[in-house]
Amino acid sequence: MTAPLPRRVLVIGGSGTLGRVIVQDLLAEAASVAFTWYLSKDRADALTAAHPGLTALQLDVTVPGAVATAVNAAADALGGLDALVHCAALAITPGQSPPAGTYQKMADLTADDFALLMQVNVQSAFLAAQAAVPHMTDGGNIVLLGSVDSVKPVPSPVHYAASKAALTGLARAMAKELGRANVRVNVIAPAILEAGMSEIVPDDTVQQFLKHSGFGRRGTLKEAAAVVAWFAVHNTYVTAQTVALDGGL
Amino acid sequence: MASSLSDKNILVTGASRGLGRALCVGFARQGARVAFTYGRDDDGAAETLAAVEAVGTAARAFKVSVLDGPGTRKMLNELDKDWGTLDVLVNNAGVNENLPLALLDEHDWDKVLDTNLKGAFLMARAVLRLMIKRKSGVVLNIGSLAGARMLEAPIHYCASKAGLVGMTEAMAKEVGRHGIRLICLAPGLLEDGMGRNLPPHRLEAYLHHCSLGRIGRYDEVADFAAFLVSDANGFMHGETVIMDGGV
Repeated sequence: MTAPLPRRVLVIGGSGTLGRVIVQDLLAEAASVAFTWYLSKDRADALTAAHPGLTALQLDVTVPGAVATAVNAAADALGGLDALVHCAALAITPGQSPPAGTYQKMADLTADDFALLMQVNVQSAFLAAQAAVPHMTDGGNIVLLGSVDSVKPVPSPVHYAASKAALTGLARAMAKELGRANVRVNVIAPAILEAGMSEIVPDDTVQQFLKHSGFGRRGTLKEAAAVVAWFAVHNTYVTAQTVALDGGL
Repeated sequence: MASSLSDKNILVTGASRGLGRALCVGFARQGARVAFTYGRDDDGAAETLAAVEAVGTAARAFKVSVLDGPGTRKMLNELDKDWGTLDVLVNNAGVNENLPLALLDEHDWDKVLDTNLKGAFLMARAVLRLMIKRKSGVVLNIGSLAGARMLEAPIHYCASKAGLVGMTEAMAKEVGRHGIRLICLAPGLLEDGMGRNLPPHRLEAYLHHCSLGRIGRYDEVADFAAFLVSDANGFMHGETVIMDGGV
């Protein structure tokens, strides 16, 4: 049987709806965990109060240099890093609420809207991985949260789908470059879940998903988090993959 | 560990050696009760039984071909009587012959397609009938990188493993509503599989293109398979996951 792997994990975006469950699953795997949060101080405080020893770091991924600073601080706190989970993301342009029952259409998007999602969803993943790898002295796992929007043709804001698809390219290229350092890079791509970003998916899209998916139900946060935690803590040979979690869409 | 298989009853086809044996041992380590099939190798089957029992779990071995309908029905009846439920089927039985196109006869094609694809279909069909009644279960098909990527590998083998990908997806659509999960796990070269027959220069080329620069180990595949079939992995369905070290 494989020897137990070191389990020092940083979660970028750990105060979000899915991020919190990922953090809790990692803790259940006996991992030492640090996580970043941005605006949800109450949620971050609740997590650290419930789990003594958990390291919380505030991070605005759009501030130049801030991502590397947070990663280095997490590595200092944990005594190194064995895994990085990136689940910080925007689903739509902040401040823009599309009419009820619809999603942001491409005609309404500006270049700045597009650039912001690429910055938050993709560039921060790159910057976090770039900063984390030097701390993974015995190899490790990088797990990026993608989306079924980038794996299968489903209705989606184009900048969101493009950003999640970019993670697949990022993961494949990083896997090639980092493989000899025994660092594995994968994308976990959930479809519509019970909560979190899925809450802004128009009802019509949800109904279409339920109709066409093999299971005919939404995924649970726990189901998504379990896969992320396995890839962060236990994976030794899967790399450069994008794994869809979509109940058979 | 998240992939605990306590109280799970698992049937693995083709487990008298290699990956099949490792899967049985890996599942047993997670607390599962394990049964397996094998074709001819009685000594190998005995070794698998011993390996599973060494981790503290009793196993059952059935000498039956996956193409033997009456034989597999008899086996499933026995398991049903003894276990009550079969929670997981792992379609692992497979054969390969390293033949180039010019030397690949129709009977070679039939032999590989029959065992690797038709056998998996027949086993899955037989087991799914039971799982549908219970509204739960998992079928894990062991595919191959050769069925998912363009590789220089025997045509009939690649076709059979690619067929498993399609079969996994179609079955996932048809039986998902019954609470049954289908997954295909597609490993690359493993420690004692096809890589053993590769000429050194081709193995070297493969490893050159493999991100991790090494072939996979059976225990790594078994660990992943144990997670894939566990209840924790409840929303992955119809998916083929390649496990190849990044080729």
